[in-house]
Amino acid sequence: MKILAIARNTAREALRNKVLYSILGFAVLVVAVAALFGSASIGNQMKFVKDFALAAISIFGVVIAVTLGVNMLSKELGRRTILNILSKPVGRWQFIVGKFLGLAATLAVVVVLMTASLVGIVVAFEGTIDTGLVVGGAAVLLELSIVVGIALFFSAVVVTPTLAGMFTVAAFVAGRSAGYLDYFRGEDANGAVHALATALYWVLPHLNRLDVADQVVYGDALSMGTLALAAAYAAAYTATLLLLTIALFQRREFV
Amino acid sequence: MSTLLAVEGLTKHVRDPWTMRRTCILDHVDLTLDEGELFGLIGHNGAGKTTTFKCLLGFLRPSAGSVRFAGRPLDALARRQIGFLPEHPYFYDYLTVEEALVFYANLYGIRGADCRKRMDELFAELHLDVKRKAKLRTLSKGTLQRLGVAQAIVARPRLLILDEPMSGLDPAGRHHMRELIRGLQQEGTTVIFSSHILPDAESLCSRVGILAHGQLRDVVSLDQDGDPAAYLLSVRRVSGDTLEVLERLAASPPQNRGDMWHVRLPDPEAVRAAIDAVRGTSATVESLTPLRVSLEERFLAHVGDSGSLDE
Repeated sequence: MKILAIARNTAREALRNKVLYSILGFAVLVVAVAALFGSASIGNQMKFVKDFALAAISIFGVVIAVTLGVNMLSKELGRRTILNILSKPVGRWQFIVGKFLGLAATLAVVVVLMTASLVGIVVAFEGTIDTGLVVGGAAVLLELSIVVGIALFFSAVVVTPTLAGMFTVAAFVAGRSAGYLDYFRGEDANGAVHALATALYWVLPHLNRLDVADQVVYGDALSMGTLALAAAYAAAYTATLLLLTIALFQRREFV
Repeated sequence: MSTLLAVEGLTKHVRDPWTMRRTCILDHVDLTLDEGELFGLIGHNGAGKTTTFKCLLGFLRPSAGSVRFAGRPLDALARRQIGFLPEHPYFYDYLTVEEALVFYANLYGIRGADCRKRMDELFAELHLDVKRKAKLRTLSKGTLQRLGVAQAIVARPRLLILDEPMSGLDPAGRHHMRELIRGLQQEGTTVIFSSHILPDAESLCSRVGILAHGQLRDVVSLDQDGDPAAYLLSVRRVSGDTLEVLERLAASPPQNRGDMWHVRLPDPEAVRAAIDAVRGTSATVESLTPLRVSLEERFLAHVGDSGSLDE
């Protein structure tokens, strides 16, 4: 219950943050404008709308995840509100897990709102609900849970939120590009490059595997097995990140 | 009275990350607190008061020493019975007073009807009722400090740790805070608080620890019912022979003003001997005054009155 109290408070802080609404409003506006331009163009206009909108949901989701993920922990440490929490019978692991759950819940609300806007726009033009978009939104949410985990990890390790934010964005970009590591792990690669690529392959999050936008846009069927595997991967990677964050946070001193 | 908190050899070193030079912030601090006691920890800025509290609560890892609460190590379980008010407490300014207090109550596992009942009690006790729905960012320093105390006592702790509770408060705010602390102690809560305002400590505490440069230099008992530190005998028309006797008994050379001699006597035995020496002579005893400990004298003796307290 202590974890839930911390999660609820974290979500409340995030949802009362005006910056969140600014980003969210801008994201919905971008999706709507894309729909208008898309509907006016010739050819596969709705494919363009869906592709662009899913990308927008992912990018704005990442912006929100990084902003909230990095700031939430940094603010607690910087303003020392954490002292009022950890002086109570609350374990540090409960604090980290509570923070993560609160942020994940906030992102779920954000992604649901953006996806619902997109589905609504598509219904307005096509007259039917594209369930693929819902799957696409869910995949974005899985990706964002990993991004939030990375943001919390770097917030617990580095001192400034700016640096933590930069590292998180770098990890996101690297994670989205993780597929290219296969080129460097081939038999032709020399020893050092192969070893480095292999190490990165195991360390970096394979966010590229959670990017299902192409399948959704072009109507390719996504099997339940693929989705379950993606969810299991995101859960395992996030859990590992949280365990590492907790291990580091246990050692931290609050001067 | 049983010991509630026992601190033994508490030491904290920090290392400069660049030069790796080691600095001692706390140096073998020994301290015990009895159940129901009101203890003051005074010291100059940087003396180690906040560091002591942070080591007690696990925010800092002690380099050496132990902390025991009710005979057990001070862990998360023990923190159920401890309340803490940090120096300059910060809160989530997007919350209302009620939301903040409910959140802190939930962290102690207080929920539902128990939580609502406790909220009503705290709002009445700390005069926060009119601010119940106010956003924290709109509150004055005094009200925030009261909220800080409220979150610290929400679970009715056995031990209350207050770090500079009077800091930044106006005279009325300080008076209210003193009354609040006194009331909590009278209800049975053991209280330890830090301050560098000596009159606050003097007016509240039964014992005061003087912390200087990381060392607990002295623990002063301020109990007015206890033994005085010395006695001041004032005598008129003292003859030369009697004065010689008094000089031998005195803790320091007697002072005279006109025909009045003031003799500082170290203990009751010296007082008895001095009265015997005066009795039967032409001298008359004007007064005998027990001298209580002057906290300021003791404090300055350890900290030094030449240096700034804000070093």
